[in-house]
Amino acid sequence: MARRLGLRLRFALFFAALALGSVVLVEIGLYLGHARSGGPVEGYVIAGVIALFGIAGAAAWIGYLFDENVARPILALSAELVTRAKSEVSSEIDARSAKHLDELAEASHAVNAALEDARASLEQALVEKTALMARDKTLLEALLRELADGVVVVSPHGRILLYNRVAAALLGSLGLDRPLERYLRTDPVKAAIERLAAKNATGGSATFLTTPVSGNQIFTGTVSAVDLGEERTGHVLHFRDMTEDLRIHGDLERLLRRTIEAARRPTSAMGAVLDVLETVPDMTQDERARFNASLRQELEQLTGSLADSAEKEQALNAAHWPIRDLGVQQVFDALLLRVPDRLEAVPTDVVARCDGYALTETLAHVAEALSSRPGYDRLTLSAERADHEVRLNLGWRGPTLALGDLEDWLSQPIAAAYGDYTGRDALTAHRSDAWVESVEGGARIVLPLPAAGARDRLRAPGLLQFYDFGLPAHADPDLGPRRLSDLAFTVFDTETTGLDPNRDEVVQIAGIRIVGGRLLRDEVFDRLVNPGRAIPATANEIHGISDEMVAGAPGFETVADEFLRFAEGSVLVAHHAAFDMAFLHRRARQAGDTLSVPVLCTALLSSRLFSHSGDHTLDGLAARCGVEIEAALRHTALGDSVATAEVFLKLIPLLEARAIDTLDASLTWQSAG
Amino acid sequence: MDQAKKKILLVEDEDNIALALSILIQRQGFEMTRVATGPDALETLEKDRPDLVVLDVMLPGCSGYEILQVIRESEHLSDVKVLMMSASGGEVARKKGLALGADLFLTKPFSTAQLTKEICRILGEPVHG
Repeated sequence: MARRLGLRLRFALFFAALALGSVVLVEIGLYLGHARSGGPVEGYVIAGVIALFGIAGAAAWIGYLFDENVARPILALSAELVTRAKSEVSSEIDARSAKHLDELAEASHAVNAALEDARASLEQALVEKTALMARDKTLLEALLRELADGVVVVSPHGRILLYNRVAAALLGSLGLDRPLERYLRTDPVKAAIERLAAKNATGGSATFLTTPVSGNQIFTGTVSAVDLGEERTGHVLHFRDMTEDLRIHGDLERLLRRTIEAARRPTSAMGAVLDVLETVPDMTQDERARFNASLRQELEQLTGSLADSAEKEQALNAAHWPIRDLGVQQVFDALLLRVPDRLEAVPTDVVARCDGYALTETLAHVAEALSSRPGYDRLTLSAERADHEVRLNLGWRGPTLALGDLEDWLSQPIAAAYGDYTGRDALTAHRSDAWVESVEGGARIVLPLPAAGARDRLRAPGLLQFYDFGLPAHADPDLGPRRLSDLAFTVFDTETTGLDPNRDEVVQIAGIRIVGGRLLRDEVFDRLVNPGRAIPATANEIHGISDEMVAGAPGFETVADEFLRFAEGSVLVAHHAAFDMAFLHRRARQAGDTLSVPVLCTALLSSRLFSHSGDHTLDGLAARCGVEIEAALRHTALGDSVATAEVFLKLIPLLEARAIDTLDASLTWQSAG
Repeated sequence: MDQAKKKILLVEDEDNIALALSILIQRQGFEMTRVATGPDALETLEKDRPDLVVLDVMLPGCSGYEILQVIRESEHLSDVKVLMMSASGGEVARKKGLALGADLFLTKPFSTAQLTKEICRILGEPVHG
């Protein structure tokens, strides 16, 4: 009962009781004094009234001072200590807030410092203990990053636990903890999993052929199960886009058919003409001239058709070979390791389109054979860019090399892993060739390659942050009873034309996801919105968004729908959420719909958690939680979303410390303030 | 006729093409020898130095490129004119031929008229017919 009243109220009641007791005692004393001494009663009444007001006033004054200098500081220090204990905030406790409790502040400092030391020791131990795991994790991430195929790991219930960059490029904006069937037609995958289960073998895989939900691509891949002991923890999907391969295959088939058809008619015609020329020896000069002209015309048609087919076949196959942009220096580095001591390389930054492995093996084979000959033991690699090609040169000082020898080396298989694939095959696949040129004092083998083209869309830079194996195996669709640390949140913010949600419009909306207690910096939503009206200068000064910037952007009716799809299945979080939600509710009303989604507000949570403080702005809350907001990003929708998300992650343990650990409990608690 | 003295070595393994080219080249007044393989070409080159070699790329025994390399590296053959012909390989084949020292690289199919015209141009002779 006493704890529920709160510390400040209890102190206030204490002083009130003290004052009341004092007044009662003084009044009893006066009454007894008058009864014994007698005399006029007015004097005792005046004394009693003065004592009453004096004691009440003194108690109120002392109570106020006590509240300011003791009760509030106790609450502030308590909140600071709890924040540091639960949220790993490392900044020093503000001594000014301790007022007259400076000794307690010093003690708090000592506790805080001890806590920091303990945390540092624990972190050090953790760092050492997890160093090997971190190395393995880095290797795994590098492997996933470099894979040319898409990889997705899903839970037994089909929720995404991991995806690599290629998968995201193939399937769109993938998100952790989201159902895979939102992006991929999963029936063929489920059928493959059933086939896998029927085989009842561990370590096996089953193939599938499917399409994304949009249906405009064709993927082929394999699925295999991941078991942890007896428990099935998920499935690994490994797939690639076959659309282009199938298209090229179809085009090549059609080209072959057309070429055959195109050859059939002129060859028949030429046969007929030749038959006539041979069987009618007495034809006139004019007749012979006409037949010769026919023969020539048919031949030209056949020749043109063949040339056209050859050109198309070359273009189709050029698009077909499995190559990518590659820094030539990487090939050189690999060659220096393969042929040590006999090879040196001129550093280069040129980028070529090639199959790096096949090229390296081909050149290594040639360099090894060449350098084993007397007089060819110092070889130099260099690269030069000319027009649309990159020329790789393997040079030496000394006599030239017979092309026949080079051809012999190129005719040998390049590696066991490639079967009978030869260096000549590799060059043909690259639409390239190699030859020997004489240069001053020596000679060189020249190998031209196409220069790098457009940036490969699948190889955007960045780190892999797209996995979380700690997600719960089963997602309960009823979010209310779920723990905060198990939920998916979309923390969002809007920038607007003003502060009245009834009249103003959104100009920018952004959101970032938190899943399983982790901020997913790669899973963001960030859109400009055309408000359909001029942006006032006062608003522009705050967020820097101008009319020109939003001129080509879609309206809020489009962007809001996209945002709600991005946030689907998650709890919305915003700072002063009522303001941002008002725009989303208005949009829903306009569409004849209602928006029913749980929303947490960091400002409301702050006012409950830090009730002693009057500063519940995003900046104030961020400072209290030790979150730094980059000035350039403040008042951008995404920057504020990220800051709010970081703050929210600090608030979750504070809520859990008060046993407010489910969504239902949080919603009830924030609205009870 | 002066050009009757100029000698052309035709290295072509396709008999019908060789037959057609032989007749056309001889009609231009050149003295012509035809061989069908790489080794035969190298042997003939050593015995009788021509003014021009009309050289196919794809040959039995060794490639036209290898013969071209031998010609360019030989002291007494290095200034022999070489006209290369190829039925495949595209742009890179042409680059390789020119890099190895061919005076001209023609990709099949080409007209016989174009070939005889180029032969006469390389040898500095007028075109007949």
